[in-house]
Amino acid sequence: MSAALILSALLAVAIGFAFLCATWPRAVDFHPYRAVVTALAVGVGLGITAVGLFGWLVLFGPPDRALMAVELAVLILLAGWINRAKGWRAPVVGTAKTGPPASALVDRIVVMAFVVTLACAAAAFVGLSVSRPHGAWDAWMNWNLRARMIFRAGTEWRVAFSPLIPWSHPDYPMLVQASVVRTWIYAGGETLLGPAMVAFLFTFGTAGLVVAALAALRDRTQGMLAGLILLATPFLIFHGTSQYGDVPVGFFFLATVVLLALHDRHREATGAFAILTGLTTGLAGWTKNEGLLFLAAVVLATLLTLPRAEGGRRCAREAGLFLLGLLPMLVLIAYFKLRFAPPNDLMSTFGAGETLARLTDPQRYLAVAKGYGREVATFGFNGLISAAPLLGAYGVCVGVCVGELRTRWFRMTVWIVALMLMGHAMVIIATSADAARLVNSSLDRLLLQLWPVIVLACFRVFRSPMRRAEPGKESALSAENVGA
Amino acid sequence: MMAATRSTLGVLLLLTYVAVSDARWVYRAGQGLLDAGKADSITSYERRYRELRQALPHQGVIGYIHGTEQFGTDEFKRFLLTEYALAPLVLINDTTPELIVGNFHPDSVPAAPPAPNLQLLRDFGDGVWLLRKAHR
Repeated sequence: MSAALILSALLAVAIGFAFLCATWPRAVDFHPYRAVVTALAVGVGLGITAVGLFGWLVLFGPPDRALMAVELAVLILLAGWINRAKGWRAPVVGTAKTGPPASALVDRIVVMAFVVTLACAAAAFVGLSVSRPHGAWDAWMNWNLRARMIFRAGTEWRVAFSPLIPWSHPDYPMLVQASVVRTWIYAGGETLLGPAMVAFLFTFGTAGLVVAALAALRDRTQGMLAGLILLATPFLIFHGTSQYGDVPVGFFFLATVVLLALHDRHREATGAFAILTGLTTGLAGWTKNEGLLFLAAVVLATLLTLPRAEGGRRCAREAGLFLLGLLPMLVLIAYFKLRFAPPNDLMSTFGAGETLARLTDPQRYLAVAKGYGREVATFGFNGLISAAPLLGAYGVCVGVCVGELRTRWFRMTVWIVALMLMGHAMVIIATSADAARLVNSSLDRLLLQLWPVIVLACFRVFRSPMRRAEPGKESALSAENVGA
Repeated sequence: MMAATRSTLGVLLLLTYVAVSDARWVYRAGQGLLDAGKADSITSYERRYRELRQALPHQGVIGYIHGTEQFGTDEFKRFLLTEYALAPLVLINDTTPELIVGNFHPDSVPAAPPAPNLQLLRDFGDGVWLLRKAHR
């Protein structure tokens, strides 16, 4: 891999890291969350630089290597601002507390298994990318095709959104494609390593974020157990190498849910995590159209889980902070949709009469229900067992922490996943395409988008295996964490 | 005691799943090593268009014909790969534009342009033609 490509990745992650450090609240100790921030920085950095590239295209035309200088300047500015305005020795108010580690033997076994699995998964990712350097079907029909059109067309880059090629989904948001174009600008020309590297960052960034978040919210063993399940889920790695937008959008779903957990834990001290939650929700919308459904799911889940005792003023303030983070992305998405994107091929089939007929056809509901059942039962099958039933069986074996189960964050996450699944079902039922065919061709990818969130939520509530502490204390500790 | 046994069972179950996946990953990595240095199917397919790209304008809309009645999955895939290779040109699956790319299966290349209003500009071999509308 060329040094320029590695530089493009390092600079994006560094910008993401510096941005998160710059927005990190003074009231919350940064150190327990270093790994979380580093993992978040992968997606946030790629998101920010993709927005920058699109902005450059719109304002100045095709970017050249001056983009590198500008990005470096942004990084230096952010670093300077952190140094001067924030100061790194911020007062510590809400130090994160995590539960006691699992027994030393279990911890050692899990750490070893994690290291081996991480190495195997990374090797498989490289191997699969060598065998399929162009990715899979949608990569060359949509994601990388759009990147090629933008990169090759020069000043005529708008041709990438031509309504003459509706089958290529020119309405899809631009985060992945812009990230790929950015790698080519750094490399000084097209290289198949560019999209593969972007896919690698999102795939392993997702696993890293789950591990880091659970290590901070629970303990290291719990984080690595969750990471093991993710890295051993064949479809995550395999589909990561497909170079589609599903793994990246899944990263932003996960990032949002992690930030919601931080908000839930530190909301007494700061509202900064609500702003960042808005940003990552917006970045999900800038990655795939499903991100807009996710936005609706987050808003609805928040409303459905509002604590009754809380005043309207506080809720309005938090909603305002969320909107503050979301608004720039929402404006960008709206501008893209209105200025560049032709109508979505699924949504353009929405005629009122036909849609009503589809919505009242029980056969379509039955086909979708059957499809959901089948996909959930077989999701993550590795030749021995599927990942979803495995997760259930593991939960039955280790049990759950009642305290974690009762947190607002957990209820909100369950609502988000449920609303996403319901939303997908309604889109499939209401569209003109053959519902059964659409279920077969898309549901595994839709489940994959939510899989990291589901794994995170499950391992947040599962008991750590063979803990030294008495089982009853686990929920007490967790409840304490919530208000810390 | 019972809870510890159940927890051990859970961890063993999880590690078994992980071990099976690890074996798959090692196999996939090995496959990648074997494939290293070989051109994948899409790169090979793109090579068919290397010369054609030089003969086409840098931008614009071009037509496409494939010489068969049906336009099933295989034909659609070949159409997509042609667009992928010729980007940023916009490829449309009809013969209305001035320039038309003919993409025929190498075993069934027609002897003459498939429509009377089309004129063969150049045969690039391997079933790749460049045609244009015949002006009368």
